[in-house]
Amino acid sequence: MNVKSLDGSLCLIANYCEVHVVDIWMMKEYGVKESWTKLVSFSQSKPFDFVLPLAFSKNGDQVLLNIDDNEIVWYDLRSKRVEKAMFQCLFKAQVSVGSLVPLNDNDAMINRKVMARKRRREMVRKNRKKNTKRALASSFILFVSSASGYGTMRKPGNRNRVAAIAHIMQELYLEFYGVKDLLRFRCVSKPWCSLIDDPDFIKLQLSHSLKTSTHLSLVLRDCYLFSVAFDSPKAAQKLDNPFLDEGVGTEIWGSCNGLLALYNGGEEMALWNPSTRKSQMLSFTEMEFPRYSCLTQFIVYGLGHDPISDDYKLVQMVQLYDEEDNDSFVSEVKVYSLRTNSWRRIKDFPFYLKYRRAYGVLANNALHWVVSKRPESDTRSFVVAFDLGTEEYRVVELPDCSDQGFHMNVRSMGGSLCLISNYWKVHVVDIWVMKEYGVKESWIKLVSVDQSKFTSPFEFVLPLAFSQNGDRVLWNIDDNKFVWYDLRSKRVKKVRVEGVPSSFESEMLVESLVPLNGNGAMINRKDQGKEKQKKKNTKSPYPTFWQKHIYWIKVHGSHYSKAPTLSNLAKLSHPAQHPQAAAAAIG
Amino acid sequence: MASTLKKIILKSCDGKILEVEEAVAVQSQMIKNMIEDDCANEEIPLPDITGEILSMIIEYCKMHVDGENNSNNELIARDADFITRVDLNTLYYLIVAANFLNVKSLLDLTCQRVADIIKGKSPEEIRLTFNIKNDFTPEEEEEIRKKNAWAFDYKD
Repeated sequence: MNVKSLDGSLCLIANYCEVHVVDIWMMKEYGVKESWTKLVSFSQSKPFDFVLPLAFSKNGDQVLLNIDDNEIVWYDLRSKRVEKAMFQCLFKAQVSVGSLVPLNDNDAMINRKVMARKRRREMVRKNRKKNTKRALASSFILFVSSASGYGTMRKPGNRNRVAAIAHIMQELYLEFYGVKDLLRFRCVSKPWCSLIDDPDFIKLQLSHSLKTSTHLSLVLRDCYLFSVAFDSPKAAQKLDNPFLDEGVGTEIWGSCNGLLALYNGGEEMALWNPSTRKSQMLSFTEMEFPRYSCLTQFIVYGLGHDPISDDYKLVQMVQLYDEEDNDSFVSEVKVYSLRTNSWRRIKDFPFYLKYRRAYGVLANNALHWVVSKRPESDTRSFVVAFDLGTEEYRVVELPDCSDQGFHMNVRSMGGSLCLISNYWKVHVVDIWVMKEYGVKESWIKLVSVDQSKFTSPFEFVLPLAFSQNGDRVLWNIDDNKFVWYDLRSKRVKKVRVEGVPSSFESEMLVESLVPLNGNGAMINRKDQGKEKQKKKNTKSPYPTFWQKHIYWIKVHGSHYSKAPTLSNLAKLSHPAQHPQAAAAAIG
Repeated sequence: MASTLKKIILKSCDGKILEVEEAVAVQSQMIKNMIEDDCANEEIPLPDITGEILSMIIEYCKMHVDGENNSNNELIARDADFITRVDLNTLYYLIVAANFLNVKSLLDLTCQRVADIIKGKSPEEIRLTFNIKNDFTPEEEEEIRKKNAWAFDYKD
């Protein structure tokens, strides 16, 4: 028995000396016993001591075998026949990659084969990335070779050249140009257009911007929406949001990969990409539980990307309960998928949301909310994550900090989850960052702000983003000003931005080409009018009472804690959804 | 002593042989790796790099080695002088070669140059500069422009 690695998989070579039969097994999926498959089984026509598999052929139907270190043969997996490879001498065959110096002919031949194999393997693994590179490459060849004098350029079979070109295109497109430039470049020629529309390129552009903190902006909201460039925050520019009757207080429900989830009151919801100015209206979803209400009501949202199905999801969570009656808890969660352009209900959220207007904080492909296991305001707060891929809830381990006497909040900065503990009694705010998602030990205290050192007192501070070199943090203080906090000198510097509303909510946004016209009705401003008219004709599935009520909550939610008109009309009993029982099951 | 005087022999694809001081040659990460692996004792054949391009790269590397003690601004000025002398044809081959030899500063410089050339140009000007054929029909182009008309208002 012997082991070898073939194409990255573990191979077992069983040499039955007595019967002169050799079996080669391969573990297709590492660590999975069931994935072992018998690749080769052949009896010796002429006796040999051992056989070692080296590599697959390019099309994968042949295996290169080393016999006794003196012969290399191709074994055809289909016809099960052995074909002699052309070289024969005494050597030790080894799979090697990437030697720069040309070897002598025989070795070079093996080497080339092995390298081709290796390259193919890499290609399969990084299929997506490679494709992008190839697209980038071919585009650049067209891009430059069409210039005079390049017609004679030798065929670009050279890997170095392809890599070089890919590099150039990445550098160019990603480093220097924003989405607006790229949209303009689309009309240069077809190759340029198809490159910029390539989904892989869109992803590359996005991940590059996120990684390098470039092409970022702040979106501010009062009645209107404004945008402030993050790298040079000088003036706020008003954004034309996609709704016809803007100015009624469009709300932002989340920001993810260049998309914003917007709510414009009534039934108007949309996903919007401000960089491409494309939007998609969302259908309104009705709630499935009885329409009678109890006392406390929450409707929160969260927007994120599901890496498993490569889909964007908007989560809507509705909670109703009577603080005096634990059995009255209803907590319905629905997920909108951009791909299917539809809502569906998922497992109920078994915790009490702590804050009425806190939409889900996105970090590591999960949305986070501050919650408690009981509705009373003095119960311990903790953070629960909703995994956008698996659609499971899980409790996030927090740093060991005293859990009394502070308001807990979560945010995300540069993709990392942040915990803000506001010790309101002693006027100290701590900001923690979880450097490695899901690892409790990786929580570090980034800042501890002593209010007494501030010239003017504040109520709250929200960290927004790290500066490009990472030594400063941008804060939103009390929703009315921005400051840079220098992590080294521990000093704050006010950021003066022209045209900023007196009070605003702020959100980070990255420029992206993420398209919004894949499914469903892509609604531009013009079409939207038509859509609206259509809507008027169709009767809303929603009871009018609820419409108004929910609208009221959405607009005024932060200013009242009890529903205005309803008393304990009905006690809803959903024993299966009892928060404590369910929470215990999870936590 | 011997090591500082050591020469690396480079051979271009058109057969030109150039002797380069090690200190200059190691500006290329690829050659540096080869020296470390003791593979640079004989001439190093460089496929795809012509003698002309290779001399330019060596000139650039020399400039950076000699200018080590100069101020940063001076070096930037020299870089600018070097790159603006390069026409588009040569620029392309320089990029390919800089990437192959892994001379990062030159790669950054050349890429930045292409970016600067494109920056602020209309699609028509880009086509003209790089002699790119417009393969859209007028209708198709109109459609693309209409789709993102706002993006063409860019010189403000």
